[in-house]
Amino acid sequence: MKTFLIPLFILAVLLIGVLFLFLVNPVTTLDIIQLAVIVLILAGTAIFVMDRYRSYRRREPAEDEYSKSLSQKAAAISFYISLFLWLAIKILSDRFTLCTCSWLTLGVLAMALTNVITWCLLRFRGLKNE
Amino acid sequence: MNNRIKEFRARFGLTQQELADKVHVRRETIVFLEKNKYNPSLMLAYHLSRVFDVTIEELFSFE
Repeated sequence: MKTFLIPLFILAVLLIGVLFLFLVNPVTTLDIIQLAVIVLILAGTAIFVMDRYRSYRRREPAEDEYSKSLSQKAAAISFYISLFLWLAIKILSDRFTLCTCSWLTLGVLAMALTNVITWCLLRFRGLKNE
Repeated sequence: MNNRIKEFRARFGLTQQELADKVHVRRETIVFLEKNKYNPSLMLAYHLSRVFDVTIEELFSFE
């Protein structure tokens, strides 16, 4: 199985799903914020897909020790940030009125965004002395 | 940790891609190694030293 096809498939499904949701339902301010976050996540995923595709064309392994370290480090940092993020959401939920479902959606999207941003930053910065 | 991978690669006339293929990693890994932005595992350091036919100590220095 071509390794870049799986993330490409996920990217396509996400894109179609988002477009469908926003075409069917009326758009609110919260929807626009969520759409912006989803677009950022999709952009991060697109970088990931292009990365895999380049490796496939060069007949390189899809993952090696560097890329695995990168993913693990990004996951570890984003998990740590997410803890504080949920704490912030808890504080904000006392001040702003939103349904629980919306807060959860925002939280999950923020977690995904944190992971994507961390991965991209580490991808360009490198993993020096780790 | 510093390394002399770029120097040895040039001496052996290898491209980054060729070296990556020899040690079964992605070219990106070689790029980051040469920039000293990644410390390799012992296994990768061993494979690199085998490609250049030198000891690990000659290839990597711990300062």
